Amino acid sequence: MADIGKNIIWLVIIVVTAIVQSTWPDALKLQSVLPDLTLILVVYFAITQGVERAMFTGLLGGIYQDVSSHDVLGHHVFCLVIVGYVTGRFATRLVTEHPAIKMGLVFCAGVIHGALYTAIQYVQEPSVSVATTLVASVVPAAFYTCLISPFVIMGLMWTFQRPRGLSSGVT
Amino acid sequence: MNFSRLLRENRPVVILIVLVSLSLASLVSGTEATGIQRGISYLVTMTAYPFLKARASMENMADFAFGFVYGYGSLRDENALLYQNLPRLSEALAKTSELNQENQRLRDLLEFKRANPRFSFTPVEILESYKGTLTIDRGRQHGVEEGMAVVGPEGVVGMIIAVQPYTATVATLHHPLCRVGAMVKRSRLRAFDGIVRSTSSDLSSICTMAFIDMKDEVQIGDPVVTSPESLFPAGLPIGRVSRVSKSGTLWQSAEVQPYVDPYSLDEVFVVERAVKSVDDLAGLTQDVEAPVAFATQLPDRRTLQEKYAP
Repeated sequence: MADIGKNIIWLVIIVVTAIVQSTWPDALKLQSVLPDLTLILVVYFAITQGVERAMFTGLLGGIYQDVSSHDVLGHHVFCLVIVGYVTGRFATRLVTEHPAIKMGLVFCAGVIHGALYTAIQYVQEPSVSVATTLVASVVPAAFYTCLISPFVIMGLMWTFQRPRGLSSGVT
Repeated sequence: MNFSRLLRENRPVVILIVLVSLSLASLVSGTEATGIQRGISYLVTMTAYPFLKARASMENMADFAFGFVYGYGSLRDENALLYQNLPRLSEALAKTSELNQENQRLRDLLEFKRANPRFSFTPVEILESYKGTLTIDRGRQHGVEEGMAVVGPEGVVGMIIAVQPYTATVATLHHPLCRVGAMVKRSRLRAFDGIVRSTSSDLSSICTMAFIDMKDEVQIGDPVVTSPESLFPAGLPIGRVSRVSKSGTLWQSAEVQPYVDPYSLDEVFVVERAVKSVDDLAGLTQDVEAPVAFATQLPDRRTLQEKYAP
């Protein structure tokens, strides 16, 4: 029963985060840079609950974002699932609990996510300037996401009542 | 067996491969218009709706709070500006109201004129009203003559008693000089002298129909109209019997409350042709107009003695 309750909370958090991400972009936007809250969720679950949970988080959040942004279904899903897998694998090797390390992990995840997203965009539309997008959009967004990640992660830790959730990173 | 164990040991990788493969397949095929996409879109829209509403409400509340705090100065300026404009707008409103009333009066006059196509009316404006008389803005130069009838949409107003070159004086039913040939519409009953006149010289608003034979029946509320013998077109409403006085003599009298209040008039008509000319009466002209009187011609059943006895 406890697992079912946790799963329901997990599902609700993903949906609410995706809704906030897609319906309140102006409230989150700073200098036309938008943070990726779903990405923080993926990283958080990769650290605290492992690769599989991170990938399914990416699947659900990605589907929601694809629909709300009118992208082809799979665009965000593809990026977030890969980010979830990579982050989960990498998080198992973390040897410190310092928040800066987690923020760095979020930043790296943001860059990977942005790079994958831009690559798919480039494949779909070759006229897109990859370098410009990476420099002007992906890196600032990853940085912004990493800046707000401590607050989001604190909220998630409070929700799941796991104050030591950031310590292990192992499923 | 080994394959199953392999899957179990590498479950994350298998999940990754499945999900990535599905995503790529979706990206390659493009699933924008499929039923899956529509279903998911419906679900997303339904779940997002409360958040969108909440967002709109919060934005409105924030705007209101911001405007309440920071818009105080501009509101004060706006209030001062509106206060400055208030007299001008009030004046414009009063003018509009006056124009509306004038428009309604003119429409009534026009309707009255259309309803009486057999008469030639001259519209005049009232310049002054004083002790039962009205001064109108048409005079001898405009063809106005003494004795002409003056009427309004509600009925008889009075008659011209003095004419100046550019103005004329109208004695209303409140003035002793105004005497109008009248009859009770219901029974076509006339008084002995056949007129309705002002009650006395006190400019009362009540008129009198005196010298009615005591055997004749007059009821309170009977409408009184102009008679064919009067200078006015026959059948024009004058007023309504408000009281019948029987003094114990051979005569009775009726008080008539006129329909028209001359002091509330702004425009009236002068009837240029109240009666037919002598030639017309003699049948010497080829006038194809309908008879002046249009009241219903009822048979006069009074005996000669009743009709002519003093």
